[in-house]
Amino acid sequence: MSSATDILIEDPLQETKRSGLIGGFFGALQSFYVKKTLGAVGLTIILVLVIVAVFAPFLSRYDPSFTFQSENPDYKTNPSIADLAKNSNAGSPMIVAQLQQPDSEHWFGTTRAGRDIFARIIYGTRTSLAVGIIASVLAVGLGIFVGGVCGYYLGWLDLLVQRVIDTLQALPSLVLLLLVGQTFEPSLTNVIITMGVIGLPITSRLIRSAVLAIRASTFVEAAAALGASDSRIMFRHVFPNIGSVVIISFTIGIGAYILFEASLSFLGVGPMGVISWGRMVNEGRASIDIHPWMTVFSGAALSLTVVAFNLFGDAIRDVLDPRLRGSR
Amino acid sequence: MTNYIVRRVILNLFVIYLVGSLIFVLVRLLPGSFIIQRSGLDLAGLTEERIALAKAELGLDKSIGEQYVTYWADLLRLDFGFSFETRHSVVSELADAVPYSFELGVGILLVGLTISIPVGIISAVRQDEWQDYLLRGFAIIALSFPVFWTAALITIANLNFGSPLRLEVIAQPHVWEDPWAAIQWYIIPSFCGGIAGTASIMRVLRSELLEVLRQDYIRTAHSKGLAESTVILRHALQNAFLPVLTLIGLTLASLITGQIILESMFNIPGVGRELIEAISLRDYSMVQGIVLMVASVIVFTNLIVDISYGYLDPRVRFS
Repeated sequence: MSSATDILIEDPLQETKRSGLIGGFFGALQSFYVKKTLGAVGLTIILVLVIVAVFAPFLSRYDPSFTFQSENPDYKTNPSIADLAKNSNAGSPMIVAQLQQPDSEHWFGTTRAGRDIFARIIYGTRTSLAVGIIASVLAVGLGIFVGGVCGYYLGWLDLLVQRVIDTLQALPSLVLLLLVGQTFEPSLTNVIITMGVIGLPITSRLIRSAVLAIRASTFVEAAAALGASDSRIMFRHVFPNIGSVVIISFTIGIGAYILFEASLSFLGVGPMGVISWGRMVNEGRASIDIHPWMTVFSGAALSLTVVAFNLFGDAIRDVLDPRLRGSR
Repeated sequence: MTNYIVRRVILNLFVIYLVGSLIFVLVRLLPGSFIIQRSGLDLAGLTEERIALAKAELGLDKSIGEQYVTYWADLLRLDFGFSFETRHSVVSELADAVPYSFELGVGILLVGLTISIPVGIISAVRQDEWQDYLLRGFAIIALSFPVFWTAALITIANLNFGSPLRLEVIAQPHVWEDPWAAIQWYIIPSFCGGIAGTASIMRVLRSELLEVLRQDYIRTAHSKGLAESTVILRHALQNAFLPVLTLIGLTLASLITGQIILESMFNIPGVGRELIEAISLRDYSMVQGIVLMVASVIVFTNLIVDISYGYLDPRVRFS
């Protein structure tokens, strides 16, 4: 075992020292920050990202879809045909400020369409967080329902549902996303729903095996012997005990869904009408030799976000999964 | 044992049947059709008769039910139909594409295993020392970096710092035709895919090794006076490696996902790129053929992994 005492064991002591639920929460948070340094780093980055997403209009400096213009150095009031042949923009005093290098005005430079990359990355936080969190909530919610019912009732229903889940798992998620993504209008909502459904095999498997384990325990047997109904056993005895599995699969999932959305957008079939880091990485590749900034910065934002969620998810799993305690 | 294998094979065949039916439906739900997709801007030239003719030629004039029955009747005779686009049989199209994907897949696995095995061992043996923290930090970062960003970063480095590797290879060489050119071509995509695979393999190997290293027989081996390296390589690693095998089976699907992206980024005419093209062209038979093949590979790889488990680890018994 590791030298660090387990957080969950320490919790009751903390709660006696501090009064009330809130005190207990902050106590747990404090010991989380002390014992799981990496997880705490992840949690801090996540909190910063949430703040960035919420206050995007105040932090972005510019409107993300505003087209910046700059003075045309080749401007001539009355360009001759020869001038126009050399530079077709010679007649216009202002030109689109495209592909500018990072400077004090545009911290991360501008895109090919003359938009501020920094502002677009700030707004991209909203898309990524929304996709990651909502898709994960959806996948876990569906997983609780399907996994709970299958794990509790078993029988032919379970056998059949498990085969359907095998089917979903026999396909790389990207293939399903590519197909379903093009069937429906690629709006943000549809992409999120599709990803939630595609995450179902993993979450429902985890929850089903957790329910199976609890179902075999003595206290469920005792409750059944006392004549408790199925729904009472499920809601009073089974569900409260799968909390850790639910939290683990929720936190671990978020990073994966963010990566999925980015991959889809990178391939050009992601959600339309929103700013997506994955699409920015791809757009930046067109002029990667002279202007690598969009690819570099949007990819960095994406990776940082996923790293943060993975660090946090790992720490949460270590805390909640007793089998991994000590080995970390 | 035989009973177990037979049962699993039957269940797997049922899963393949479900995959086949699912894909049959999904591909027909896609808006638009091959004929519209192919005619490009020449929509005015699409008269009723020409559409009807083209449909009859592609077998799309029959009712959905009829199409479904023919689809399975053909599949049972191992006839995957012909590609709408090239008019070659799907099998011959796949025969061209599969070797490229196979080479890339092997490259990814080779890179992944060469990095992850030593890294996993060092991390477990030096548990909670700085080497462990460093390598685990590396693993979590590798796990979080999207394949396409790693690839883009390497491209940028190549452009700005120069490299002996050729980025654009117009000829698409196979390893057995021109090994040196092929290695240059595959090394960057293999590296990008391998890095992503490394992390999960390394983490499982590390936690398994930690468990094995606490066993009595490891202490016995130490007290016999065996060298540290013998204990780790001969006694611990062999027993810690089984779960890694399962993991490779389970992560096959995500490896293939990475491969689809890498193939379309690096212009490798493999199965993944063919699939993206076929989906956007609404080339039904190609999509069906590719998806069925990929699903079969995943399902039966997992079966082989599970069965080999029984032989490699006598403690595992099937019932």
